[in-house]
Amino acid sequence: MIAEHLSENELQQYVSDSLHCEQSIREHIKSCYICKEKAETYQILFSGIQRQQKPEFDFNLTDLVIAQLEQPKRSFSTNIVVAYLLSSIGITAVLISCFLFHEYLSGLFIRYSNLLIYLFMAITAVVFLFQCIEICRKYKKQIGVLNLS
Amino acid sequence: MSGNKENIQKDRYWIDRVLGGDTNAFATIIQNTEGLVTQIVFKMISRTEDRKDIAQDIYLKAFKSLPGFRYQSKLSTWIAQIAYNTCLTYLEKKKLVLIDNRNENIETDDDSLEFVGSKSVIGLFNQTENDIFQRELNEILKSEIELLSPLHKTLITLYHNEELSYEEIARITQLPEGTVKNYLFRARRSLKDNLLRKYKKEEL
Ligand SMILES: [Zn+2]
Repeated sequence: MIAEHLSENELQQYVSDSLHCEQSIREHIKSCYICKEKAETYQILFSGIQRQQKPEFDFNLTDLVIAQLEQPKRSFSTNIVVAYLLSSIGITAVLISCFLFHEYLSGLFIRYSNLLIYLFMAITAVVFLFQCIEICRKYKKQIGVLNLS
Repeated sequence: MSGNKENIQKDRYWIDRVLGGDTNAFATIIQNTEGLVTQIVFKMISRTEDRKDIAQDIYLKAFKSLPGFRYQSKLSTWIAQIAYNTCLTYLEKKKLVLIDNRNENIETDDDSLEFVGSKSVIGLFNQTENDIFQRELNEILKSEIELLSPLHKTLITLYHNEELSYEEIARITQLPEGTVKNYLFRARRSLKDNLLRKYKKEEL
């Protein structure tokens, strides 16, 4: 048993968790009515805190947040629609010009077949390079967002 | 431990749904964590009119950072951390103090308080069955908690009302566990002392 009265810290330890606090503290409380009363005051304080009402907002937080989340999503989908529209216009234009000039183009292909293949390969390489750069930029941006969190 | 695993699985389920584009799943996440976030906002921010913006800001940030959540804690702890940080930034911006010890001076050993503690208050508390007394005590305690600094108020609430562990509180506030314990000790002691002082005054 502790000869001196318990410190405030020991009293709080006892009231927080009487089962797991030191044996000496428990024994002192058993035999000392002064510390027992002090512990009871803390007990009353602790249960008083636990009885405090939980605060609530006077508005619907979920609705407010979700409403703000859906806005950017909508603009995102319109972006996709615009992208599809533009690319289909582009593809149509290419197909129409192929159709209109197919005789001229096939003539070119027969006469300068090697030249055309090199041209095609060069264009492919350039496009591929641009795609790689774009992916790299996107990746860096996303990593940036992750680091922010 | 299995409860912990279950929590992680639940968190993962809702997070995956949100990341898959299901905004309504985020509504569930809000509903599951709103109680804890509300406690933090109410304890950290005393201006009622500012709480609405801050609460929304917390969840918008959480939504944006959700892809970066690494399951190192419960989702609720992670969101509570965002809540605490958002409130902290607000306090700093408004030049408000997080800890103020003027009303919470516990260094002086007041013998007269001990006397009150062991005699009159206990005398009163012996009739705790009395509802009126309980209600009165609740009211006094409510205003006494209100007088604590934002950090102490928050720590008291997280520990005693939300029943979080020291470890979880330390994670939310990014303070060492020892500091959390120390602040909690001070906050409880000053609450107890102020309560006793109040009852002593009423006796006179
Ligand atoms: Zn003693």
